[in-house]
Amino acid sequence: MLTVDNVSKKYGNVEILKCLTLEISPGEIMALVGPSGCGKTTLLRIIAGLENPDEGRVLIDGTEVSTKNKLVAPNKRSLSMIFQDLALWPHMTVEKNIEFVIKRDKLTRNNYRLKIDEILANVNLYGYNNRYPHELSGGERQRLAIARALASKPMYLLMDEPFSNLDTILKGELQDMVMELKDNFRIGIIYVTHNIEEVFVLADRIAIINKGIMEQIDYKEKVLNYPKNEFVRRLLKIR
Amino acid sequence: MDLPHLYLLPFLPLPWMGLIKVWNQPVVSIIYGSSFIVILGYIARFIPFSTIIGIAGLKQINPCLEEAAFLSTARWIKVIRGIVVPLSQKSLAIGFFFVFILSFGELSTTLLIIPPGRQTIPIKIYNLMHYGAHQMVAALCLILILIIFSFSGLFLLLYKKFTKNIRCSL
Repeated sequence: MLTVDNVSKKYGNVEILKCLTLEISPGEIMALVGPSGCGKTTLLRIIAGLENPDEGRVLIDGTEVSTKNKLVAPNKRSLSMIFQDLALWPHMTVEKNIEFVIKRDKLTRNNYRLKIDEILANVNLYGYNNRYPHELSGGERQRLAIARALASKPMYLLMDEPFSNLDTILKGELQDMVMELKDNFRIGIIYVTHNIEEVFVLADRIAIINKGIMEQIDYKEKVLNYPKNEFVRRLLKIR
Repeated sequence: MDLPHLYLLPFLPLPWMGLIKVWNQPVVSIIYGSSFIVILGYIARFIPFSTIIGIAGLKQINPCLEEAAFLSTARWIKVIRGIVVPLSQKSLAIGFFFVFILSFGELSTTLLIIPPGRQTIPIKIYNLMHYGAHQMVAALCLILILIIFSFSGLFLLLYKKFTKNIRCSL
């Protein structure tokens, strides 16, 4: 269980997050929805260990990983993150992008290759080993980002608007892939998005944030049927 | 001026004075009496330029690329070696070459710190000008220009070859 417990964050005098609390279990997809600048990305960065919270704490399986004064290294949190701009290493081939992540397993060279091929096959990128990210299409880059994120076998995956620049067909394909990955590997996924259709396709639960405050967090059917306030109703286009 | 550049301030005014003060000591006279002192002089004189070029290159790297690396490894040396250095290779190479070319025409620092009996082409040109040997001066200037152009051509060729696949972004 990944727990965000009363987390607050300020940049200067601006309060980005105000006492946010949420929980997510392995095998569950939670959509984080809210207008631009409401603190979604900051929350993901705090969960990933890229920033400290000013107040509150983050726990993974009961272990405190982030407080104001404590920060467990991002690689020791059993989680991975897909950035909004994917952050693929442009100077590395597809294979090297994956290899950098799995190197710590200290596998032999042959086992490396097998493992890399297996990871790439999982996201339909088998045979693309020697291509550079700029030689891939938009969808292939997204798949590579997913493959890289999964290569370290995380228990939780943080996705920051990963499919925001894709066409509808490609988006649908990748959404199916995310659902498959969730079911096959039982990964807990926190998914930041602006796209309401995407929320209803992918998410088990929805967390709606506005100006750093959690407006509502619940199963999607419940949010749809019982929106807590006018903001939630308007954001999710509920009539 | 950015704060990181402040440490370069002692190098900016008359770096050679500091070099003479530091290296003209009995314990380290081997260095002061060798051509190595000239190289040290050029480094002290031109390091601000290459540093500024290097910093500009580092600033172009998207911080997300480093963060993505830290999500999979805690070893900063691996991140520097695997992500930061390769992505800033272009600016590091340009910084190096810029200093290399500037050093060819350097005269003032060299005059003050060069050990007795050794010469660089600019010093030779300077001495010959003093004696009025204009034909020799012209010939040496031409040679210097040819050397600089040859190295520049070679650098551009190698730069193009080795940085073909290095992109800082998609």
